[in-house]
Amino acid sequence: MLSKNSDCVNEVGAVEEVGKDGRKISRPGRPFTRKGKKEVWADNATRHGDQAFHRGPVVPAGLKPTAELAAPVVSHWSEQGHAAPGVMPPAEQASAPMTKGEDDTTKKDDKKKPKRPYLDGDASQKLLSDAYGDVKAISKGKVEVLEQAAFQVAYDKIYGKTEYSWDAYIKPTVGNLEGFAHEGTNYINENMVSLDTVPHEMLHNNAAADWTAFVGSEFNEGTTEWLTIRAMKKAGKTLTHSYPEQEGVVRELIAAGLPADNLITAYLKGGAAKLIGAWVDEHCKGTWAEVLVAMEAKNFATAKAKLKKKNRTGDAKTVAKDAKTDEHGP
Amino acid sequence: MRRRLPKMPKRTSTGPEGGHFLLRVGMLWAVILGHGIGPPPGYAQTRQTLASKEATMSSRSALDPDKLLSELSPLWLAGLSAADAEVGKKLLRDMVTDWVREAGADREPQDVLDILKRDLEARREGKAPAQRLETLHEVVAERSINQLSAETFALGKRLVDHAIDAAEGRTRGEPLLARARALAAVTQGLHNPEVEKRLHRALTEAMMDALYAVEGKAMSLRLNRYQTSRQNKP
Repeated sequence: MLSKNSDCVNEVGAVEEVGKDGRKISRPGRPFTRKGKKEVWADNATRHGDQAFHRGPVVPAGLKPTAELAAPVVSHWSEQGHAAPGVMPPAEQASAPMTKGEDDTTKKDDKKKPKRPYLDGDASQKLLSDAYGDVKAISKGKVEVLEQAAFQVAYDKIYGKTEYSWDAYIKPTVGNLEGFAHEGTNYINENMVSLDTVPHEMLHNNAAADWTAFVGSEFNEGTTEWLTIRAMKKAGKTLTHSYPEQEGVVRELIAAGLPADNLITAYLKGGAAKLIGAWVDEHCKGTWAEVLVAMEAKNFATAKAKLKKKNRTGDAKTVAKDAKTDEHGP
Repeated sequence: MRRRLPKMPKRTSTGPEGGHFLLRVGMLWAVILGHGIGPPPGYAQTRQTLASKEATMSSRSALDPDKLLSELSPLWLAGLSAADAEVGKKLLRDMVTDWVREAGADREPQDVLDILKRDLEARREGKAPAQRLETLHEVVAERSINQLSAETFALGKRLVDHAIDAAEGRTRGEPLLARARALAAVTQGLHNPEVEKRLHRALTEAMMDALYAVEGKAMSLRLNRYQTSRQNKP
């Protein structure tokens, strides 16, 4: 879950909850099973980012993934430090920001930690502060990342007694979920995260109050992704493009000449109506209102077409001049 | 230099009979042939309107699905076996149908088509025939999920805004949920793990929107953000 003003608390727990029976988790046909405390990949698997999915005979028999999943872990960081029972207090956390699954090798229970690499709260805050700290102090927000079993439990607390329970509905249809929200809390599935999931979500939480309402969900997603990638690139991290279509629209706007500072300031400090909307109206072929409608309909090509640089010979002033010439001769 | 014609007699007749009518026809030809007769008042606007209509008609003709298919087929189906080419042809047709839907909704469809073609071409370059076929699968799945996702989110927003009641939300949400279920099988059949992950995320987000519409409980992360932004709105 994300909320403003929070500290980072990571918990390692529920290790024995899943795993010793070799039962399958995640999607139907999921290619890995748990044996003891680590994941073993089935032969008919390929990697799906950091998540394994059934893919038919893609990976040769006996080939293991580059990163093996360890036992389930609940990661949770909250502002007030009033963590749930069993949550490790902040003082006991490693002091330096880390990349889960990559850098947290000094911990005793390392093998119990997930090996899927993703930036945790501290690392994400540092990453974003390095990139945007001069514009705005980046707050972590309250973030909850649940391991697979805990995530399913959270889901079933809501839908478990209905026809939409995890086993009856999610598992046989889409197999797994990356996240959902309930009563203001965002639940994120650790088994589905990418390296930059947490900084991406953290950025959402640092957006200016007028941002989302003005730009809508899709442009918001594209800009959040663009800002995340920019920060990751600056830090020399591996880049992922989780929203390439929305990000592509933002890139089109920048290609039309929108200063990147406009985007960053509007996102983090506010003023999107002027910095984005008015700029588009003045410089682009279409209006911001048209772009917004196209984006919300997920007509991304239309949005891009509207964001093309205005042809000065075709603007209103020139057309009026042409009309006058037609009527009265050159 | 513009030649001046003799002063025109005052036009008094608007009917088809009589010399005045013929004179007007003559003037029209003179204008068409560039003989320098000044156009009648309003002619510039008329010509602009006609030009605009012609441009629109030209753009609309670009929306001919068969024309688009014949343009794209050699690029995408070359090198495929007959069976795969049939599959590819169907995918291209599905894609083009959706292109026409998107571009046709805009006042400048050619601009939209140009972008669609450009972006598609970027996904084709350097790929072997089988990879191109897989890309077509991805594009069609992506566009189907996008449409569903736009609908589910719009429905979710209306519920959050109390523009519709729970009963209507359920009625409208159930068919969307069924579509999400149907599309799940499509995404699971994709081979590119990155694309599959991305589409799975988009699909499950749409599913959570629809589930919220039906049950009124858990929602997608994006709908939660929308709800929060509405609450924060001054």
